[in-house]
Amino acid sequence: MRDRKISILLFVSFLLLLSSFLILCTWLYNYYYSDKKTVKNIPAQPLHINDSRDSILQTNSTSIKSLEKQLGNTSTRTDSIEAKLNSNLDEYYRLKLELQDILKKPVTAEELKEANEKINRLQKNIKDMRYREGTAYPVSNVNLGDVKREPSINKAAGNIEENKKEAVLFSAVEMNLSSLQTIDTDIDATGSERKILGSFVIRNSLEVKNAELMIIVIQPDGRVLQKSTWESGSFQSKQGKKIYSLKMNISNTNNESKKVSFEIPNEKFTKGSYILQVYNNGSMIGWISRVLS
Amino acid sequence: MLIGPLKKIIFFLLICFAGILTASAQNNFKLKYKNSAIYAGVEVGSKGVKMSVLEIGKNARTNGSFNILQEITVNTDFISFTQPTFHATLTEFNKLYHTAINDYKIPSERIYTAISSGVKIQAEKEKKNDWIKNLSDSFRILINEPSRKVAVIDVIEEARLSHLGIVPESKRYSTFLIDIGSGNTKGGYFPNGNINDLRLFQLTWGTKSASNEAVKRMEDDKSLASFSKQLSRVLAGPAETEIVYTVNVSGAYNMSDNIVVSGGIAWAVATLLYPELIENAVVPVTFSEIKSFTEGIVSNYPGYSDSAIVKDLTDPILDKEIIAREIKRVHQVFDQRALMSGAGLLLKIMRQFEGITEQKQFFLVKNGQVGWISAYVADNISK
Repeated sequence: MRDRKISILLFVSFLLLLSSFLILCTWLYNYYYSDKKTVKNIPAQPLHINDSRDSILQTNSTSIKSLEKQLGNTSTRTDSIEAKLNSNLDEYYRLKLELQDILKKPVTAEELKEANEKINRLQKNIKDMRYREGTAYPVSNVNLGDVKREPSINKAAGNIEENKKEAVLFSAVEMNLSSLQTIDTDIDATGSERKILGSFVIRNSLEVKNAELMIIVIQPDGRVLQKSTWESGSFQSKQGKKIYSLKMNISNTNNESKKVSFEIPNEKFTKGSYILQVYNNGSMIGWISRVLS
Repeated sequence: MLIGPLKKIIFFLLICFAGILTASAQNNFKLKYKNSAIYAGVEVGSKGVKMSVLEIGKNARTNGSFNILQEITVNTDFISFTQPTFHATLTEFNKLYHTAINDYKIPSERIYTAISSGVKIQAEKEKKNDWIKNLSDSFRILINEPSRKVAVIDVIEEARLSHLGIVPESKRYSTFLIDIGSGNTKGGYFPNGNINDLRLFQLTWGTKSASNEAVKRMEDDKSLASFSKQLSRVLAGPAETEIVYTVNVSGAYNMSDNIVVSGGIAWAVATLLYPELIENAVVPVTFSEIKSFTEGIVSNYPGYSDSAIVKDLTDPILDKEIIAREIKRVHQVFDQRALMSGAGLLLKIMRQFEGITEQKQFFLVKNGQVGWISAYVADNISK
């Protein structure tokens, strides 16, 4: 009788233990896989771990070197495009100033003829900038491949003709992206929060009363980090509809550089590569990529 | 000899087992915010009883960070004030309360119960205020909580709470909130820089009432073209007169930079216009976008089907299945004529705030129906 009781008790305790174990496993499984789509099961390592690791390390190093080389070439090519555009712009402004000087004072027939020639050169200059380079907007750090693959370049050039007052030459340079950990003292005093901090210098060649910049911060998982649902939205870019993190309105006088900075709270920060893109009038005017940890 | 220790072991295991069960049940929700808390609101409305399980973020009062985790609505038609509908409402009220406690493991002190303004207005109209008292008293007896508060919210309080629940603190005193319902439209703004004084705004026009009026005028021709023509006349005639007058009297134009629209039609239009923002509860829109939408709904309705919209989405990150499902839901709730009526009414209201020199910001809110209960919950948490 006593043995029977012991057996029953043993059996019950075993059942309880097994049920608890199963529930724990289910809970851990759900917790582990619920939010983190990038988490993968790491398969059991074969015995020759060091060899695999070394070869992966070598492959990664080679890939990184090759990517750096490509990036360097892209930067060089981009720099040369920018240099070319800048020199065309310089010539454009020089001609414009010369024309203004000529037309300020009473003109002779010869001066008129000279002005006419300069106007023709000016028009040719604008046409060259537009159609040879594909866009009137100087860019920095833009992948040359993306610019060349742009299908609607001529259409954009046509749009520039129609919307002259919006054809502002913008570029975003000295771009920076970093993260900051803050201590949150609301409700839970032990809580901490991350912020993504970004900045860039906006340059333009014409006076701007009010221009809109769309700022996009892309997280390592490819999702756009939105500042808040009230400050984010989507816009039509040349590559289709894009969600923006926040938008900013700026006004700049001619040739003025303006530093723009922003911060975006990021409650669920993950380490990895973040991309910052800046758009104006549907065109990207600058981008960078940074690894944040 | 072994029985004693074994009993202790079993007792210990039982405690662990119960703890694990409780913990696992509470963590079934996919929470959006860090350091948030889960609350439930059970409300009796005009159509029936609704339970909303809400995640209230730590900054809910400042940036409106609340997330709807679960929503259950049961239509019991309480405002017909008959014995069967009374019993049906009481039963569902009790059932949903216990669902929050038993299924979602929300303690009773985190469950708020209320009766909405639509019920109060109808009860006052039909002199059936004692039905509301009977419902509250019967509910307290059923759940065995004699001191439980069942608040009866009036229309101004509901509009005030909606504003507090939907609009973040940074935009509180520069935002005019409008809720376009099926039968009427209401809203308001805070003109005096405090959250106690709300200037109420009410229209007798809603999505369904505009549609009904257009149908009434249709005579023998029941075609879409005829409906469209009659709807234009309704919106340009009696509806516009009331809208213009009410907006002018409210003084909202001069006091507001942001116009926020909630209600079913806001959800529908936001979903169809901005499918890529499916996860966003709030979507910025412009007057011209809504104007194009009202024209497109008539001339190119198939262009707003789930397949047509999803086909144009190029971002690989977007979950096209979820988007398609939500668009289908929009079309289940709103047919073409309902979309035309609601969007037309929305456009008419927005037109009053569309200026040439001064630009107002327009927003559509998709989850406005729980705005007031979330503010009610947040309000009571802080007390």
